[in-house]
Amino acid sequence: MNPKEEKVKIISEEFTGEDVDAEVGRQKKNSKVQRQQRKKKPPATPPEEMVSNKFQDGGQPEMVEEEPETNLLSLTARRGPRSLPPIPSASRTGFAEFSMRERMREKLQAARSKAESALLRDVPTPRPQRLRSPSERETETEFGTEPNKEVGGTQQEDDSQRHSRFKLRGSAHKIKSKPQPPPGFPSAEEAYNFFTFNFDPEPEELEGKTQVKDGGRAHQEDQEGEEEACAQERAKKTEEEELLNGKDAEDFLLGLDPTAHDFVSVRAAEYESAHIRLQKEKEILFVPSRLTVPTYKKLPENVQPRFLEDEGLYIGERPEVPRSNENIMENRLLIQEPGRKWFGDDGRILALPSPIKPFPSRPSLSTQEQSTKAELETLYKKAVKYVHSRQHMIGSGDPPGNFQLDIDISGLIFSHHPCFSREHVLASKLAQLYDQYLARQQRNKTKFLTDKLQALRKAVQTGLNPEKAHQSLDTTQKTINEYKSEIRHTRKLRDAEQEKDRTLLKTIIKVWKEMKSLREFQRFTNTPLKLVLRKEKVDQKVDEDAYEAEIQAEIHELLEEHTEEYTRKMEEYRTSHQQWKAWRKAQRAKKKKKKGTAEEHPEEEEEVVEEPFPEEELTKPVPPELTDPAVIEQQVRERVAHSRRKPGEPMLVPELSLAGNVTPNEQCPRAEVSRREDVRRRSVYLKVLFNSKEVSRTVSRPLAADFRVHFGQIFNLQIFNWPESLMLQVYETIGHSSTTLLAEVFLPIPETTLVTGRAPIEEVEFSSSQHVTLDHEGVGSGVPFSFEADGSNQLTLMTSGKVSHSVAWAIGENGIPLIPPLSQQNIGFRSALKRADAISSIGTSGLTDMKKLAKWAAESKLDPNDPNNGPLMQLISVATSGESYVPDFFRLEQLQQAFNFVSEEELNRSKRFRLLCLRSQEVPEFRNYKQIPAYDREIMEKVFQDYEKRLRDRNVIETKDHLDTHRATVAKYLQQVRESVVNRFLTAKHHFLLTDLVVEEEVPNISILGLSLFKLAEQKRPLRPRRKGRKKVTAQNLSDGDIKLLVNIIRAYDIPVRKPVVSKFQQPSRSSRTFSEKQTASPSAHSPVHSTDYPLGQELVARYVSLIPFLPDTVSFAGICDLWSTSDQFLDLLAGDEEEHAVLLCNYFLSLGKKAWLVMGSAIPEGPTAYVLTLEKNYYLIWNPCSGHCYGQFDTFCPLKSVGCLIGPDNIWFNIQHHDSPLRINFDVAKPKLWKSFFSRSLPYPGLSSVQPEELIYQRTDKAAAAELQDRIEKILKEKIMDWRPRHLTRWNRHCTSTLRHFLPLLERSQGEDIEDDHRAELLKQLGDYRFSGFPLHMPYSEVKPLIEAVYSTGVHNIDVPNVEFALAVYIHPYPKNVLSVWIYVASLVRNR
Amino acid sequence: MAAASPSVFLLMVNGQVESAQFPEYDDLFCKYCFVYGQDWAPTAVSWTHGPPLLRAVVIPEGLEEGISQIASKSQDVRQALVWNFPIDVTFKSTNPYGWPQIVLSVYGPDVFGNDVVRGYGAVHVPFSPGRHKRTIPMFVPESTSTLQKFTSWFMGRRPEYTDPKVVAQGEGREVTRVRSQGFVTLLFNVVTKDMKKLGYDTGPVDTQGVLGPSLSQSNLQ
Repeated sequence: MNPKEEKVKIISEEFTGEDVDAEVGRQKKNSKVQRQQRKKKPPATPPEEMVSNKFQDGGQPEMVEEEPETNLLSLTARRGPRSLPPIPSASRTGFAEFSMRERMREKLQAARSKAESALLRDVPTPRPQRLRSPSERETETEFGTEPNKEVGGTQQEDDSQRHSRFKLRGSAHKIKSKPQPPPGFPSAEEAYNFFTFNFDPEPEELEGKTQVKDGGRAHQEDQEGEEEACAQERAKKTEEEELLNGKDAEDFLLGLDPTAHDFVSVRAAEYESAHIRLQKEKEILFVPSRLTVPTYKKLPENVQPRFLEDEGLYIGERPEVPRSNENIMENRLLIQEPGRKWFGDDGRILALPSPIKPFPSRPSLSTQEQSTKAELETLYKKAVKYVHSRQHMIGSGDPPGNFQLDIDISGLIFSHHPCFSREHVLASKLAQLYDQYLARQQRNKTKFLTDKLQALRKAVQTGLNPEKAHQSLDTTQKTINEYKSEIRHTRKLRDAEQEKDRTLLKTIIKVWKEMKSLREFQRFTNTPLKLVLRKEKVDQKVDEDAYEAEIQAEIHELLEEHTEEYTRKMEEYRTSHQQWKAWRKAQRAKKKKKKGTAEEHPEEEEEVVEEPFPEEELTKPVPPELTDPAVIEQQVRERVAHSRRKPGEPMLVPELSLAGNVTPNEQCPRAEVSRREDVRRRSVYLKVLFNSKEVSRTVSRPLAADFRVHFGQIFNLQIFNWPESLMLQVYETIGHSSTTLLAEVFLPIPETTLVTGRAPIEEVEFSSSQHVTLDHEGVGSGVPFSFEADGSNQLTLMTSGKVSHSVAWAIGENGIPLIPPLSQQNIGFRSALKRADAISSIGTSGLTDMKKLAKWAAESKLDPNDPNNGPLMQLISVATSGESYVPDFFRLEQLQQAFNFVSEEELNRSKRFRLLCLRSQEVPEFRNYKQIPAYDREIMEKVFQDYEKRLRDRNVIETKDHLDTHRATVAKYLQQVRESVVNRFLTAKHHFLLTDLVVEEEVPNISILGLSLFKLAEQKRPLRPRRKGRKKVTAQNLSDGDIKLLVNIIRAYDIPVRKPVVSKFQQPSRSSRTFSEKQTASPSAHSPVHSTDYPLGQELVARYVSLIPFLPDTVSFAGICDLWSTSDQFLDLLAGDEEEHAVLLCNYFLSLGKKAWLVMGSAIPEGPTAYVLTLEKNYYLIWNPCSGHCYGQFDTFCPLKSVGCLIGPDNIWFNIQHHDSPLRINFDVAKPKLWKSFFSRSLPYPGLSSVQPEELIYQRTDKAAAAELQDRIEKILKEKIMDWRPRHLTRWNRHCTSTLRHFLPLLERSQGEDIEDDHRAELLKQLGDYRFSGFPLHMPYSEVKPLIEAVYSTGVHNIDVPNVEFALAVYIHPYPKNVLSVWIYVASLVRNR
Repeated sequence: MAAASPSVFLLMVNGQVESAQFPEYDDLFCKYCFVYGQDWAPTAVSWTHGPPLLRAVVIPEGLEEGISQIASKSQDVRQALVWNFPIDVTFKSTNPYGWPQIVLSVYGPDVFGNDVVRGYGAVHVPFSPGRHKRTIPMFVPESTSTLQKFTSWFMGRRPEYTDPKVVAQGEGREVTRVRSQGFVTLLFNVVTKDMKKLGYDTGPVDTQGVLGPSLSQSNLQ
């Protein structure tokens, strides 16, 4: 074997392998074992045998199995050139079943999809050329490489092609034959031979190719003829199917194992005739009929279909289903489910109402594709103003247009008023009657009824006339009867009307007469009313005739009526009589019978048994009586005379006019005059309430003498919501006193058709239930009064009247009425109404009238089951039945109760809860309370004590700490101010600004930008860094322990030092110096101005001012603000800081006639502060207002270190000098280069008025009170000193104390100066044998606490030398306005041994 | 404390500020502190019963505040900034109101090398005992105007909260505008004591189930 041959062999092996695989796919019959066998066996078969077999031309097949193969081969050899009708798929009939084919096709589909295109191309190409030599084959396989499968695939295709050709040519005999196992596997050479052998005639091959197709088609036709059952599948066949056929053939050739014949038997193809098949199908398959199912089949037996819709029940619209589909479904259901649960009472399939909405719920997208983007684009829509949603609101989808309701109030007439005089009462009655008369006259019902009556009579007459053609007697008789009854009815009505007319006229005349007599009686006239009775002459004769004729006609009719009645009754009588007769007869017969049969029975017994029975049964009927015409006539005449104008009597026409004169005041009695005055004092106005809210009111108009008020005002109500109610309230004002609400009038809401201009003026009545009794001629209201002299026949009238108005919808600018629109598409009750068209049937006003609505609903027979009517029905049921319980209270949180853990009391009792509440409210006592205990029991009661005490004492002035009522009051006041300010700041604390939260650079300007740019070049860490100002921390953000005070003492001057020498302690030399904190600077350091020209007045004033206690604002309102109070407030409060002191001092200086300024600057130790500057003759003095000390300008110890500005009485000057130290500046404010004034030529002083009061008022301080205070303070201080020495005995030296007490006033007088030496000498003299050390303390008096602290800070009490004695004296010097100067001298004495 | 009815409960928190995701920034450090109500106090952890060496060691308030090291981004895809900065604090309280929150603020250099804030965030300490992982979104206040934004960028002074603790409260936040920046992942191990005795039930019924929430937490990530 050469290599080529080898290759061919391999390929052919592959072929078989592939074929086998394909076969496995197709032939389920063969087991795996079989396949294995086949795979292995082919090489086992001797090739010679194969070859010999193959080359047995036309030889008879020895084996059945081999027959097709040999046949095939021989036939191909022989018949190749001929064009036979080949039947390629002959084998199919043999073993291919329907399902098989299906599977095959599927499998092929996959292969085809890969190779289809190539295949289609390949088919027409003459294949044999390529297949002629193995080398060519080889190339082909090489080309068709790629993955193995792919190769196999292409090869398979190729093979199938090839084999199809074989088969086409040579399988003519194969029809209906079973596939035969192919002969043994051929060797490569054999195979090559085999192939080449088959294909030697080239052109024929091509021809054969064309034949393939023809043949295929022909064959198909054949098959169709043969196998009807498969007809449909055949019809679908395509080229690929031919391929399939080819495959089959290939199977025959190669795929089948030669040993397969062991399992295969040959038999005729099974064929089922179409008829049988159809029958079978009928058994299995069910084709529902399209015909309508008769209703009886769908309903239970003997049940009539019931159509709910016809019964008036609501049936939703069924979804649309084609009738035929429905039929099919019904048929199906009938077969499947014998129970008829699918069918409703009406015999149709049960169905829910169609869920399909008639309109798209999604906005329609335009069909153009490119516009999809546009669809997704967002649209800007302006925010729509929110309209309150309310029940009667116009649908929210509406543009909230302004609707307008015009209310025209033209006037008001009282039909009764307390100020009515008796005449007015009558006049109003008369006017009312006259109005009634006019109204009746206008309607003229009498005339109408009379005419009707005549017409009816005529009709009856004509109907009775037999001249007319008798259509049918019955009908005429019927109509006549109807007419007659109508006549009767009309006559009655007319009589009633006539009577009413007449009585009205009579009453009018009667009232008028009464009025006239009243006028005569009271001798004045109050009303201009005048009634004139106009007589209209009538023709006596005609009138009488008509009258008589009328009576006659009536009598006639009545007679007729009676006759009818009589005949009817007679008829009745007759029948009943006959019945009675028959019964009697029967009775008698019975009696006879009974008598005959049972004679022995006693008669009584018989009667007891029988008689009561028949006697009750029937009584003998009484024949009716014929009425007497005379009687009837009598009746008629009487009635007519009563209700009708007598014949010939003139017709009376009343005419009411206002032509009368009212008696002027002068001629009236006093009571009447006062009544008229009262009327004049009264005025009336109306309030217009829309939906119970006042929207406007009329002007107040005085009540006219005729009790009419004319308003003539039109109110245009711009509304959003549908009006629920429109109300007018009538108010009356008497003089200038209070107004009273007389009455409320509800106005009907106009129909939507009613627009301005077309609305008629209507009158609404109102009445009031007020009771008024007046002391003049006015009859009052709700009070009985009488027209009679004796007071009988009492009458009680209530205030009442009419408001004439008109309400209409306004018309907009463009002529559109401004009515809330009705065309709503929105949900809610209105839209439901709209659908039901309620508005059109009852008008919009009906919407607010539930009863009307309910009535309409009942009349229009709304379907209550229709969900569309749901809201409406609910509304109506609520409105009419009142079933819904409307509570008369409003609960904000109706679920609150469910969330209450414990009762309110228990919650309030809980101390912990209370503590938490108070803390969250930031009550000062609890603001920073930490760790509230977990249990109530752990909370001490005393926690609340302070707080409760504070609450209790809020209004109680505590004098304990102050010993002085004035100061206590002030302290309380200050405390309250402080509290309120702190509270305000606590609330303000919770309002944050951005700067409170975020640290951000300022918006930069050019300079900052430049600076920062410059800074970039700066050193990052300069050698001598400059201190940066820290951000101020506001006090309200602080909590406990946040404050750390850092004190840096730089230098100090003249610090008082206690002499360290103990021996000197004996001498009370320097220790006697007054230790007032204000005297930090030594007196010697005071400027030379301390001398003679130092004015005493100024000193005193400064001292007074300095005695007013100092209370910095920073203490009161820590870090919050700086308050400047006026001098009187300052003096009243007796507390203030530098500004107040300085202002007061400056004011004193100014009033002393000095030149004085307020200095704003900074000082040590106050920091920013206020001082006072005065100009003496040629130098300036700087005053510290709080200490009362003054310094010369060039005093180096002046605590004022810098001057910012000066404030004079009429200007402010700012220091623009280079320096700000008072030592180095010039105080001459006249120099504009040194001082920049606030008010200058460009901004002149506008002459502002001062906030200060014109003058201050001083009260003399009670000296006795001061003395008492002095004693108390002394006592308290002594007690305190004893308290501070709990381990030691504290002895008081009375002698020394009294000495000191005498000494203190001296100190006060000399203001603590220049008495040192005197004092020392005095002390030495008095207490020579004591070592004395003590301190005189001087303070302004505010409260006790600072005094105690001052005494404590002296440390005198700390001496623990045995035998030490103490002395303590207090002196209080009162100044005006409760300013107290307190001197305390505290000393310790040790007896010299 | 061992009494039958305790008056306080204890909340012990340890864990760590694990890592952060700040896609735009690098070299960040973080600061944390706790914000808690008035009824809360960090308790003294005293080791009086501890081993002799530790007996002297008294950590007064645990690690109530801390500043971490500067961490750079990892070189991998995650680009995580890992601090692994420990948290260890114990609180005692009488009231769950004002439950502690941890407030984180992250800082790092901007292009000019100035340390600027890169994010603020806060989260409550988990209520239930066990292991919890929390990822907090971080944010920074925005400049009020574009000009200020520019200058603040230019000068390296970005807007900052006056106090990082404001992020733990709602008050005053309405005046600020913020921008989100990144995420910080925290790990908490929470132990409570006496909560139940005081009537507060926060955790799972049995302590065995403590694993549960932590698992679900991690699932949430």
